[in-house]
Amino acid sequence: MNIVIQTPSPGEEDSVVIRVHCMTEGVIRAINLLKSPESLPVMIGEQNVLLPVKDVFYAESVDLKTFVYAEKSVYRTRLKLYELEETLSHGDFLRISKQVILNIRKIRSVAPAGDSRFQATLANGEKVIISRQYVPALKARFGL
Amino acid sequence: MNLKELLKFMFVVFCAITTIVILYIAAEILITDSLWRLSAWDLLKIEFVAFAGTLPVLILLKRENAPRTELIIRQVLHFILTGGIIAGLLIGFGWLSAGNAAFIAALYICLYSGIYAAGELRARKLAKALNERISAFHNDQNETH
Repeated sequence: MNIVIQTPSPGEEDSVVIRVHCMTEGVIRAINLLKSPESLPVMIGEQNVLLPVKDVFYAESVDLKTFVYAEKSVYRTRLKLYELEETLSHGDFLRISKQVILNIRKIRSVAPAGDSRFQATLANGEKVIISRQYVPALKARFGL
Repeated sequence: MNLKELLKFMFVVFCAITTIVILYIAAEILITDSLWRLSAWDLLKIEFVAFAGTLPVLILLKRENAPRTELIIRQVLHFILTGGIIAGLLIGFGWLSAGNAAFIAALYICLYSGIYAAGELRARKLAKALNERISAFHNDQNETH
């Protein structure tokens, strides 16, 4: 596949043109990567900051508040979990329970947790439960 | 297990108990060469046994993030209550004699643990397959970077 990178004229908007005969899995992944945002608005105290999406391990909704978990820190975000899910659905994020969406890049391994649920161990050693109704989506994401 | 899944599961358990009780009674009739035949009232009683035996399934309705120990305790309670209710009713209706109670209890333990073990085995197989895919996914990512 030829990759052509051109510099647009000054004032012209950045754009990506994909010319392919068929939409392969790789092309779809590339499109999803381009569509997904690079950072998320989170709060440190009352201050809004942008957290790189690649650093997000998972996001959880607790008592109508949404928290974003990075390797060692937890941030609050004003976004609702469904809004986060919509924003991140093009990337590597997947809903794994009613309260949690998970970055599948951060999964180290999975193990059965009883009652058709699974427990995912993340790259930082944290463990999260994958509910039985979201297991089919996880299987599909990994081509099973 | 959420409520919708629980109701589906209760229906499956209800059908399974009905089938097993009917098979047991049919076998009892054939083996003992009894002239006794099932009446409509007996069928109603079988359905009642199945309904009562299904109720302990409600114990399995739990929080989404319940720990594994809680699940095991619930499963053991479900096992004891289901067995107890069915055996109690079968004895009450005169369909289960003390003579073959030990055989029926052994059969129940085998059946219950067999179903549980099959579920665990399936989950382990799936976890193994998922872990292989996860490793491959990470290898792909590392190569890309």
